[in-house]
Amino acid sequence: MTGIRAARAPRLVPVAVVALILALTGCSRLGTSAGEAPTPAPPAAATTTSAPAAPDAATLGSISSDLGSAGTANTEADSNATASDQAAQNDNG
Amino acid sequence: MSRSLAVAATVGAIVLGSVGVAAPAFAATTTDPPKPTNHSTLSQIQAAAAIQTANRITALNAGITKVNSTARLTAPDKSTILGTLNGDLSGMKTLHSKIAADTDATVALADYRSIYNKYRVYAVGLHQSSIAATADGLTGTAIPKLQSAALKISALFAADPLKATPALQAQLADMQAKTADAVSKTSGLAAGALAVTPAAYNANHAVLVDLRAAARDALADSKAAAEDGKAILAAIS
Repeated sequence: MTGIRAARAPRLVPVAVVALILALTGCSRLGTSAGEAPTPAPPAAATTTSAPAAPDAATLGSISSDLGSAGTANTEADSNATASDQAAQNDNG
Repeated sequence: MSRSLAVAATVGAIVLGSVGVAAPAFAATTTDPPKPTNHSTLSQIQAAAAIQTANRITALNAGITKVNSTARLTAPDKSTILGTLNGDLSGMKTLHSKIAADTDATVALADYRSIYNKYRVYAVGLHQSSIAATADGLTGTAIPKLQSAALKISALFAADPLKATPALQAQLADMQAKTADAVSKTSGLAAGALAVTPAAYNANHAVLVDLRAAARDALADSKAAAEDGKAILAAIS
């Protein structure tokens, strides 16, 4: 018996090493065959909700420009409206 | 200075100031002629007429200069206003010369009164011009810009509903409603003001009252809409 055990031990070590390598590389999983890439794990980002996108600067600038133009026109219109108010006090001019 | 003359001088200065030109010199340098009556002498009438026509000539020249340079008036309205103001200017110059050459007090007094009854430079010509300029400034620039801004804000809210809080949605709705009111109140406003004639004013001195009020109301709406827009923009920036 002792003689037989001593003769088998050297052959078990390479087998164990190969098994370990296969386990670590994932090639030992069921369904995996030569040339087939392992199924990648789902990306972490896919499981989270994306934050709302901030309005782009160009759009905000365009809105600001519109409102600025409206404000300038309103100021000029106000000046003319004031003139109309004053003219209304002239009852014979 | 009589009330009417004082008011006329003040209005002339303010109207001109509103369109960006200096107040006419007459406001500070003219004397205080008595208002001519049936009992006034020829020289008294001529003195008063010289001042009144000169005041209007100054005001009209300044107004014409400004109207020519403004970008707010539509081309048709600018043409109408320039036609009126240039016609008034020609009339004032003619009266200025004619009254100075008159040799009869009765004729001179009739000419003097036509300064008012025939032209109404301040009460109609310059007054209607300022109403039209108000209206055109709103319809040509302020209102379209407010509508454009509201559309862009709406698009932003649609793309990012989280930003469209109930308060901001309400403010946008108010902005749109105020802008719509301004559109309604300025509809036909400039044309209506420019259609008023001295004869219409002679028959009804309040003929421009409603039009002036509409311009004021539309302006208030436009200002409120702009404030809404600014508040929304500050909140989402």
